Amino acid sequence: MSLESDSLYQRLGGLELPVFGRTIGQTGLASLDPSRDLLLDLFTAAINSELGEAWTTALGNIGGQRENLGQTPVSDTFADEPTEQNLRQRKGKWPLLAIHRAGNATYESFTFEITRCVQPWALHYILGPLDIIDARQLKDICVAVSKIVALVIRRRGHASFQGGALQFFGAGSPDQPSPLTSLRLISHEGPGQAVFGGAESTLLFWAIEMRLESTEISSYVDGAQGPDLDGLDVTVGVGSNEILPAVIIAASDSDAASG
Amino acid sequence: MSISASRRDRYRRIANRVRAIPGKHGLREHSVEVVIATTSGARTGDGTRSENAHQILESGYPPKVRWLNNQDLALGQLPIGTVDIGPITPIHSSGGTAIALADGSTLAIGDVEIIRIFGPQHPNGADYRKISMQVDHALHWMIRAILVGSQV
Repeated sequence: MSLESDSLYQRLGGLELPVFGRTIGQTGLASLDPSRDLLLDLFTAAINSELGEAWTTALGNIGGQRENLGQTPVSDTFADEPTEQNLRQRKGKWPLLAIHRAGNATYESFTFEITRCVQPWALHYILGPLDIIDARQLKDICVAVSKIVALVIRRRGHASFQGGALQFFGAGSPDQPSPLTSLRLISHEGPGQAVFGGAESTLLFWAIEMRLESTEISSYVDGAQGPDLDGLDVTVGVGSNEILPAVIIAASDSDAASG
Repeated sequence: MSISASRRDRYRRIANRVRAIPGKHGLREHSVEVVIATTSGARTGDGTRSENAHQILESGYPPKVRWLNNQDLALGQLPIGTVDIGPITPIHSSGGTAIALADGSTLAIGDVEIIRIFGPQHPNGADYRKISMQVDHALHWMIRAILVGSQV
């Protein structure tokens, strides 16, 4: 049997079935979760746009170059959990913005037909190791970043990203819904000296961790093998003796058209 | 070269030759590569993977590779499979291995460093992650690494 005939032909958030090998691009299976990269790119563009000038000035105040400290407020991104193990294996630059799905996601029946996934995310903004003088000059960017993220989510986008196109609404068509139905910034922790992942060394980073929560819902795509509702009449009443007969009367489009 | 630097260079050359002796006699069965892995996409991991491997050699022979015993692991609170690589002789006038080969200073942003070991412990090779380097000795430096990836 082929995938064309076997697939569920449904989507849940950014996952749309069927997934054909030809549609998996350079990102491999990371393309199954487009929301993560979208959020990372959006927040990076917004932070660099809003705080870029201030960051350059602050760098000038501290006397220019610091090892691995970049020229923009977000100089590196990482679409995964920034554990010390990951950060040590990969050459990075500070400040680094990292996002990943964190904690327990929950699934529920949003309606009879729609499954909803509520997903916590962790968004880390990591300044890197700083001495106390540099920390005074740079550290307060952490809370500013958190506030910018909150405002960008409220605005559903930023002018510096995709020409200010609204995010989280998809393309405005039922055929191309947004991967995320909603997104909100719940809290932030920090700025402070954080040791990530309880890892093996005592290397400390100045960082802030933001907790986000998104919802994703399911829907059908063309070719779905659900119940065929064409030409269906539904009549709902109350009581076995028809106390309130036919409170709700519904007819599917095809039925209405043919009738 | 100053007198002290000249002497240091001489000591390193001697150390380099001595450290190669077990390898010459076939007693260094594990070979070690420092692999710089890059991908062609915008993010680490996106696109086509390419690797650039550099062997660590002592005058043409593999360095000492030792898996830490239970006592070392317990005292250092290290995971099973932690390995010490070295002593490796630093650069000198007739050879040696630059510390920069493994300290990450030559990596580009987003590059990934892997320590790959081949030998009886890993006939098909296995990837390790560097967790520390010891570079405070004039005549040698060392790498400590833990198993990270699947066997290659």
